[in-house]
Amino acid sequence: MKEGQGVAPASVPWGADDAARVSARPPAHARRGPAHATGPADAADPHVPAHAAGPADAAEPHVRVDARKLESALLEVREAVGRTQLLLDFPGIEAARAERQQLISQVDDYLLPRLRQSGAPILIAMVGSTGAGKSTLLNSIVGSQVSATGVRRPTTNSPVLACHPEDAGWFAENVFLPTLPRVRQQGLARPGRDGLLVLATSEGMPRGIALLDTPDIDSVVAAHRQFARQFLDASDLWLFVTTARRYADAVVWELLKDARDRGASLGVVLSRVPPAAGKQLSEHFEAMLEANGLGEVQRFVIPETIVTDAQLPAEVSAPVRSWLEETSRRDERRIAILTQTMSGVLDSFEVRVPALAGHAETQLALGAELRSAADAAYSAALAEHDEAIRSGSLLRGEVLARWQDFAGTGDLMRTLEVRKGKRPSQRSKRHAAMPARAQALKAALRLSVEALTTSLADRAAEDAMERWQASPAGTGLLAEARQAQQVHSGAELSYASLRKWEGELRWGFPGAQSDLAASLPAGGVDALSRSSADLPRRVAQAVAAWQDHLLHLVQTENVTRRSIARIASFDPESLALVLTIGVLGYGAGDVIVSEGASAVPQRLLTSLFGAGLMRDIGGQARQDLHERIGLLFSEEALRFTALMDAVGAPDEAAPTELYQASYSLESAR
Amino acid sequence: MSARRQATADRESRVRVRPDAEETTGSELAGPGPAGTGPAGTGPAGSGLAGAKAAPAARSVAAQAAGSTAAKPGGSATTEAAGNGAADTAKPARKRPARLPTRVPASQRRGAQPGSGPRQPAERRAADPPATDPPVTDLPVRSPSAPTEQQVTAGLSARLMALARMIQIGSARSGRNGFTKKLLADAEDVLARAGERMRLSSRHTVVVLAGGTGSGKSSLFNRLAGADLSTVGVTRPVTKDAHACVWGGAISGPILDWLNVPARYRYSRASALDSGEDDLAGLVLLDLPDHDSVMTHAGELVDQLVSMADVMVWVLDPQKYADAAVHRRFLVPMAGHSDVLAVVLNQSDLLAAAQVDDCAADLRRLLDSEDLHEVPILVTSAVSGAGLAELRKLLGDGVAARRAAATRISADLDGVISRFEPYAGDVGAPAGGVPAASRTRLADRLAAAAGVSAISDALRSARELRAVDFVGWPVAWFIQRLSGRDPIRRVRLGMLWNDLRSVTAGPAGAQQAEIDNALTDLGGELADELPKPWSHTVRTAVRSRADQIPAAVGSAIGEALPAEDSVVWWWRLAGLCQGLLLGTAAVAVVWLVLVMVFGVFHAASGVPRLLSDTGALPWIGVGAVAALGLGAATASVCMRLAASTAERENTQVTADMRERIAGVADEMVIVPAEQELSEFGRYREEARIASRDVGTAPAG
Repeated sequence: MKEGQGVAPASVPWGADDAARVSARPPAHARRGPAHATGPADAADPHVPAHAAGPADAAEPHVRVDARKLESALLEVREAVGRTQLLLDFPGIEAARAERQQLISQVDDYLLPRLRQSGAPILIAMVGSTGAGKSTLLNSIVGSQVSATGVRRPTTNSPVLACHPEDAGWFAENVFLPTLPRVRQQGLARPGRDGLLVLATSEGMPRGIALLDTPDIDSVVAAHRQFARQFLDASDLWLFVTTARRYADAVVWELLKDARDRGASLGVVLSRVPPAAGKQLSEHFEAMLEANGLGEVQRFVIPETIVTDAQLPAEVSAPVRSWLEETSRRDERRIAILTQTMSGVLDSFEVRVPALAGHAETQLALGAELRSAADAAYSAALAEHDEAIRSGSLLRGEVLARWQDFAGTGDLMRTLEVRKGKRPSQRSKRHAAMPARAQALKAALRLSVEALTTSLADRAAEDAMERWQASPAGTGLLAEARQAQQVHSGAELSYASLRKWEGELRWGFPGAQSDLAASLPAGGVDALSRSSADLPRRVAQAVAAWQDHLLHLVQTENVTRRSIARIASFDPESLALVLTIGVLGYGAGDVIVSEGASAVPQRLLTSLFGAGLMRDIGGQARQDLHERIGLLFSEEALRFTALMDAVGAPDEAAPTELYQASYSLESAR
Repeated sequence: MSARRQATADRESRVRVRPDAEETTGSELAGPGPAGTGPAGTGPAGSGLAGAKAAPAARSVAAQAAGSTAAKPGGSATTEAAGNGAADTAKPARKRPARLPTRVPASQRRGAQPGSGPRQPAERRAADPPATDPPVTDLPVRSPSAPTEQQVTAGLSARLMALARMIQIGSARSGRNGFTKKLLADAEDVLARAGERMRLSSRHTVVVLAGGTGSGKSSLFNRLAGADLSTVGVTRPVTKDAHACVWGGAISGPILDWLNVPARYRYSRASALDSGEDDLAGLVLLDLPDHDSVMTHAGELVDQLVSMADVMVWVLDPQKYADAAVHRRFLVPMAGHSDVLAVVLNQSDLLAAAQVDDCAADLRRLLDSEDLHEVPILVTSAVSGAGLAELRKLLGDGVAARRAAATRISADLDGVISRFEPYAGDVGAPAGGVPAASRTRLADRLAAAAGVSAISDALRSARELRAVDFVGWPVAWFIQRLSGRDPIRRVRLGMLWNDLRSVTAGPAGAQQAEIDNALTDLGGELADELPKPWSHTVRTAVRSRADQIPAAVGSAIGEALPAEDSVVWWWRLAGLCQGLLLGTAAVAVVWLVLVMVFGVFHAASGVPRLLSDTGALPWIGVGAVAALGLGAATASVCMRLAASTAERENTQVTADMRERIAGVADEMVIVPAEQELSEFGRYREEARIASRDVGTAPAG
């Protein structure tokens, strides 16, 4: 079976051309079916018989509605719903997605066609449990075997649509359920192929109605339920068939309550009733119907009888057949049925479209939440980085030991040179090579800042992952990404196209999966919880650049106190090192390392630079490091938001559009 | 002794010693045995063991021909069983297959000696008072290849115990990254249910008739029971509570209580024993409400009873046999339960013969597609009575084998344990500890984070500086100072000098970030290959004490460092020597000056000759220069010596620091990590025990 039926309408473009083509057809059909041309509604307005008030249904006063206005309102709803993407998971997302799909298919398969082709036959969907005898009943009404029957469950795999030959044009492929391929039935019924609509024309069918024999609603074949739903959404009247053995099944009542809630026109058939217990059973069933608010529906009881040629005896099926014939003949009943079902569906839209808008708002909130979760993890890391720099906690271990070695042995002092006249050439020669201890200190400083950054980035990646996994939306997105990654890694080539298709089905637009896969880092989803592979390299670059910046700062700015500068000058490299130590430990009161370690550079610096200048330069140096690291971290955070971008950001305007469309629909009625 | 001869000897001996052995086994088991002790798993373990030990007890009696002595070994064995649990029991049972046949006559024996006293293990005894224990007659002899009840029970108990420990391990590691709560809860359920079921009568076999509304469960129930016990009706649904019918007279109260069957719906077929239904003795047949009607509470009841039953018979009918309600919810999840599952296609009277075959074939195809190849399909009709004999025989066979309860539990176990498997990963791979290379790497990185090499450099510098104070040549310092090459004095930053001198080597703590990175990498090395919860928990264990490490490493280094102001003895000697040399030089210079003053310029008269002898001048000059030169040379040699001492000391201190840091790494990182790794190993071991099919493999 081709699995596209359920959803394909989503991808059907609703261009103006299509609309024009579809609505251009009915007059031709209307001419072919003169039976409907006599309808008062058709005469008054070729587009809207459903709500047109004929003299016959005075009992139900209808406001005359403008079909064009209603149609454009529906198109607006259709577009707004179509543009609402429910990408991010939240509890109940499956139901919401199904609901969205149903809204689309109700507009596409039922409301728009019904509005545009008011003269089309009433479509009656025979729906019910497997083995209830739907096919047998259809055959009996038609008078010939148009649908296969049997003891195997489920029997009917492909739906059969039976109508009068003259009505067949209404159900051509480009008009009715355009996505469903169909075959014309020749001769006796054979079990059809799955996923095909079998079109059976028979003189035995009354004109103006079409009977649709649907697959079951409760067998092990899950696709059938989906299928049955689609037909229910597209039909004007439900003929619900159940049996004496099944009428208390939970599935049956789920469907009946659904029909009640959406206000669909409904007929109920209780079949295979043992003759002996007929009265008792039908009374019990009636009581149950009434208890569930379905007391008013049309009911039929069909006893268990001998079935010959896949048909019931004529007298058994006669009540149903005559009821159908009467429905097709009497305009007021026809209009009542159409009105009831359509206004039922439109009524439900008043609640369901705003509900979908609510979901769309949730999507926006979830999207923002996910983005901010990743950002928050990294900005927390950046704040921690700043704090570590400021608090002097880096003045430990190797850095501290190297500083002690450098400062304590007098190498530091040796780099201070007294200005005795101008002897630049000599000085530069003397300081061409930094003392080994200074170089070791510089390397230690760089390594410790690198280590800090790398470790914070790792932790932030983990944290962001945790935050994502904590919300269903994040978990869903990650799972989807994992799947996309598998598909695109070619691990399941044979399965790939199907998975891809399913993914697109779920996300509602093509290409999402490949975008998603492309947005993943090299190691796939699992690599997200670690820093990217080249982060250490980039960190090393950033820190080295920062050190160069400090050197530059010391060299270019006239930073030393004038009184000092007059008589002595420092080697800029060493001065930059002292400055770095000062920046890392400056003003930190809670340094727990041995006494004086942090005070020395500070005192040295204040002696050299003065307190105010030192604060400025220190702040400047820290700010520079903050910016460099911040840039790195935001690049890391981008890996997460790239996933979000790949599946497409939730449409900001979607909720508003939905509310707007819902309002226009209300005002159009 | 060959297996055959052993068996024969047993049989012979049993004839003679039976009363004593029975008495012994009975009384000892009735005592405060393993009943109700320990977790759910231990009870059955005890009972299985007690049964298995009964045979050796009997044999020893036969050998010694002294009945009373048998009580001792038997009794101690039982105590041991309570203590050791079931794991040991499985082994003897497997090792001695020769003893299998001896159990068969044992069960027959019970029938031969009605009312001869209690023989049931203690748990059953608690449920069925001995006074009312009626005889169970002529149970069919099982095929010798089938495992005995005791073996089945013992094997099961071992597996249940293993599962209990797996749950214990798992619940400490549940959550999003660990064992799912649902799996743990399901496993607990299986464990509890198995424990309860095994404590209850093993002579009963609980069979449920389940199915959709209107499939004819109640009609079938009534036909099997031979009386209209459960109401049959046309309006749906009819049955709202479970009905039970018990064949045979054995006390069934406790098991029905456990099943929670209302007292008014309990029926007994004790009298039917006379009417040729004795093969069904021990059958507890339950008629369930439907699971698919609007009556939702019944669905829960069905779920519960289906999970408690030993054998499930699903009653389908031609209209409903392909319903999603039964297939999705019950049959598909039961794929591993084929041995205790049967499907009945009822109401065959509604179809023609060809249609019945068609229907049954379609049902077969459907079941095959659900991996239920083994499940038998019986075509019956409660109305015409067709197929009822086969159904009765199927039930009879199940009841007679008495293995249904254990098989069911075993299937449940298989199901739940297979869900535990992903957490064990590839069971073939060895779960090693932390590799030596990783330990060394970790210690190295911690040492780097603490700056061990930098500290040792600084230490050496400090030592040398300090040595200069003692053995350095003061003249050189004085000259440098005079020549104005000390810039600090010039810029009036004199106080800095002291500050800088106070910056000496000491414990410097360690960089948290570097430690974190080292731990992250180690966690990756250890955990990347592990299955899901463990990869996470091992990482957590590696990091569990990360924030204590810097301080610990710092103090480890502090302990390793030598006292700051320690002075080597020869430094002072060298200092003294230098002082003497300096003094000598000073005296020589003074002398020189005096000789110049008095001897050359004759500034005064009457001075001693010593001060005026100009002839001594060159010698004094040479002496002064020699003293100065000797001082400089001594200083240089001593500095070299001090440097090499510092170097030596340094190597030693570095090694000491590394060793201490490795100790810290062991204590703070490796130990927790290895603990978690060994937990993982334990889990895999339990999973292996739990999943092996010892003694529970059904015979056919």
